[in-house]
Amino acid sequence: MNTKIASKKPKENYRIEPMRFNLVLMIIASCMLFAAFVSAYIVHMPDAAAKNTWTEFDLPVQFMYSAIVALISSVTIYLAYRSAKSDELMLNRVYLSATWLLGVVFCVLQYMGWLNMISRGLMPVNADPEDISASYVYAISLIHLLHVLGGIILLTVTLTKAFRYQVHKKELTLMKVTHTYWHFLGLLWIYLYLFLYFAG
Amino acid sequence: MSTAALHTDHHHDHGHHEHKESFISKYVFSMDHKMISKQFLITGIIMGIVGLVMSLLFRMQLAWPDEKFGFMEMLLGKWAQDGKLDPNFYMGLVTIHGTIMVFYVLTAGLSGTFSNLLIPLQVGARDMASPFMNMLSYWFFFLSSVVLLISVGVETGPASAGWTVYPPLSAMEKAMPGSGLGMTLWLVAIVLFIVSALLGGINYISTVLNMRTKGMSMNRMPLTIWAFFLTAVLGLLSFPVLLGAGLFLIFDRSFGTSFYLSDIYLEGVGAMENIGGSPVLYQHLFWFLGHPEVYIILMPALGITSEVISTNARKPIFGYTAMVISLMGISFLSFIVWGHHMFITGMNPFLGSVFMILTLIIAVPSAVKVFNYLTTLWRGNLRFTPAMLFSIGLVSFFISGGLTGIYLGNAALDIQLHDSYFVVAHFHLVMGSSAIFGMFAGIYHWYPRMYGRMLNNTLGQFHFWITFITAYLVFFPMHFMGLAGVPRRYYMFTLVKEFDVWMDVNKMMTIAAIVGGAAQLLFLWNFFYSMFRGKKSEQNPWQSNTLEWSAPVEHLHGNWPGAIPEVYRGPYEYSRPDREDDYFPQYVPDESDHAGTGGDGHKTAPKRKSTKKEEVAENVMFAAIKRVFGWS
Ligand code: HEM
Ligand SMILES: [Cu+2]
Repeated sequence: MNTKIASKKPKENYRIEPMRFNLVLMIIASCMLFAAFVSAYIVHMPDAAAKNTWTEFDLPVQFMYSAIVALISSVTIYLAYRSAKSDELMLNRVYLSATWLLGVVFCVLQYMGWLNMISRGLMPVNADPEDISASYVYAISLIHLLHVLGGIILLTVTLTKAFRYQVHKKELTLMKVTHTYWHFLGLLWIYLYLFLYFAG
Repeated sequence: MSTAALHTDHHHDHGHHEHKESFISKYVFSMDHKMISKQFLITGIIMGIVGLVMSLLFRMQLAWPDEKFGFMEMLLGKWAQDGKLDPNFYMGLVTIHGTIMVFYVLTAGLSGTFSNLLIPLQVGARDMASPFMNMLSYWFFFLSSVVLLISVGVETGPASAGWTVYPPLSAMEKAMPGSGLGMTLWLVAIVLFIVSALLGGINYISTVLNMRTKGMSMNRMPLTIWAFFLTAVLGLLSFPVLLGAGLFLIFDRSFGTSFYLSDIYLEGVGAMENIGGSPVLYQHLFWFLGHPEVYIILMPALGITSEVISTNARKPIFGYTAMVISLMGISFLSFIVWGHHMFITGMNPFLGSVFMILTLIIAVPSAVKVFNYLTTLWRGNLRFTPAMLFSIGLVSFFISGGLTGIYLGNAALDIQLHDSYFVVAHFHLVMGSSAIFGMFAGIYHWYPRMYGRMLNNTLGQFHFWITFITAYLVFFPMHFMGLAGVPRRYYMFTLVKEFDVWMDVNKMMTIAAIVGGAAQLLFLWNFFYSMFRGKKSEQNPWQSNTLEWSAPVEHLHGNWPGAIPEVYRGPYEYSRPDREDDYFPQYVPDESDHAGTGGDGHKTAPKRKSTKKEEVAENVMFAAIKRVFGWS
């Protein structure tokens, strides 16, 4: 099996692996995007409320479930990372697959959350004045979901590589990147959920 | 000398001697930062020509509103029936001109070119942190340019709401012809552009922070690198916000949300059902990018100027640390002043005064930079190369345009001046002309590094003087028009009798614009001719200190054939009294110090004493400050 483990050519000694550093910067950019949405929400709310065009409503319960799923998948991705670090390749694949599945469950839950809102008459488009607050929830969860889809693609790549013996103790960069990004996605959703829960 | 500078303990295993490149991988989908930089430059130049021609077209409309131009009909078809420019298309031209100049030429063309070329070469790295992302960055930019150009040709015309695309004009497909497909394509183009800017910026930051060669501590980085680095940080933090603003706009336009729309009656459609949205929200989001964006444009040009002025004055840059701190100060402040574009949106006057004070504080770091340029020039051995002239031109425009910023920053004055030609004058001098001059300075200075040949000096001189004079002729009179109340973004002024007095001035400005535009042909000829026929350049034609001149020009992956050179000192050690040569490259170790008094082989260089000239400069500056503040 050892022969199958691809080895990488040596590289220059950088202070931090460029790929991980780039990821951190990408995450900062994403944070700014959501900071823009959140600030827009905060600024818009009192303005719209004064004109009676803002309703408060309960977030769909599915959004809470998806936050819990995000939390659990953070644990599984961590375990996947740890098992790759200690060269337990079988376990690594199991945990990666579990994370992948949880990611899909997350997407399904978000979709069900939207259906839930629609069933309560909270439309994404503006038919009633009150829908502004709903528009925000739709937009923010949609853009977050796009980030998650990106994460699932990344996971798929990592998983494929894991099955090709290309994720192991000496080849951790991709695993680390996936690990960090996945935590970010989870934390971001939990933050957004709490924000919408308490602000809305 | 350069071989002596290479240290050998640094292994390198790059594939440049292993793989052969195909045409596609070398010239098209290249991952080499030097090639990508040329791609950015050429694309930027092409976009620049388009933007320039557009401005000439609408300037002709302003100067001769009643005239008919046969060639316009030939060029624009139904948008210039009988040779008269269509009013809707006039607005489209203004919008696309602004968009092209701000984003495509002065952001991508300037940052994209010089960050790509200089960051790896000046910090001593083999390439960017992620060459692949770097390639993507260019191709997103390319796609974005194509989409924007296509948008000019669509049936209903290009986006016409101004480069700031304020809703409601931009948020409703039926608001005016340009709000239809043209606006949609504009948004697509900008989203692609933002992706490109982020991919590029991430790489620039990460390369500067992680991949500097041995000895290249942050305080030995050339000011170009500082400027590119901070510019990338600004972009990283502000472009996502524009993306957010754009996404909301897309939702409003195409999916029926009402983030920005409320209480609108549209002729031919009736009352819109959208309610509760806030157009001012868009302005906040837009200007949160918009103001940093103007510094994203300017700072690379300032960095280039620092480098060019120091090299061509044969003097250390005056106040290196002050320059860095000013750049940092400008970067920081630029995030908290966006409200000065919105003084008349009905914001709380208290908020207005906060934005006003913060805005005026920007004048401090800006002034520090200006004084440092002037004191660097003071009593230098000036070499008036075209690059040097363009840099000095930048300083001139930065002063004359920056001063009017202080007028505009006063909330009370801005009520009168907002949306007038005064604003147009302000930003065309401080941003348009300044940054374009910085870009030209960069091209003239680093052309030998890019193509291994020299640009023709005489043509460069003509190019500079004509451009410099005509730029002032075009933009300076706009101040007076603005003070007299002439509004910007108007198709013609013949219906307002009071503005008749400006007719002749308008003609003069248009003629100057045409002459200035024609002068760019000199540059284009020089640029493309010299690529093949220019005089072959030496390795280090300007006797410059920085690292990029130690690498061979030919296309070479990894930049240096051997190990990456080490760095021994700061980048601006010109005219050291203890040296015979008037420069001391960063990559030459002290041991090889062959000349002057200090050459007895000690490891660390003797602490540099300031030269006579610098002392004089310092004294002059302090005397001036004392005079200004009334100390004796
Ligand atoms: C001392 C520094 C500066 C101050 C105090 C200042 C202030 C202002 C103010 C208050 C406005 C708004 C005017 C209005 O719309 O009514 C403005 C507009 C503008 N400024 Fe500056 N500015 C400064 C420097 C700069 C620099 C360095 C740049 C670019 C590199 C720049 C680019 C612009 C642009 C593009 C606009 C017009 C935007 C538009 O409405 O389309 N400014 N400036
Ligand atoms: Cu501003």
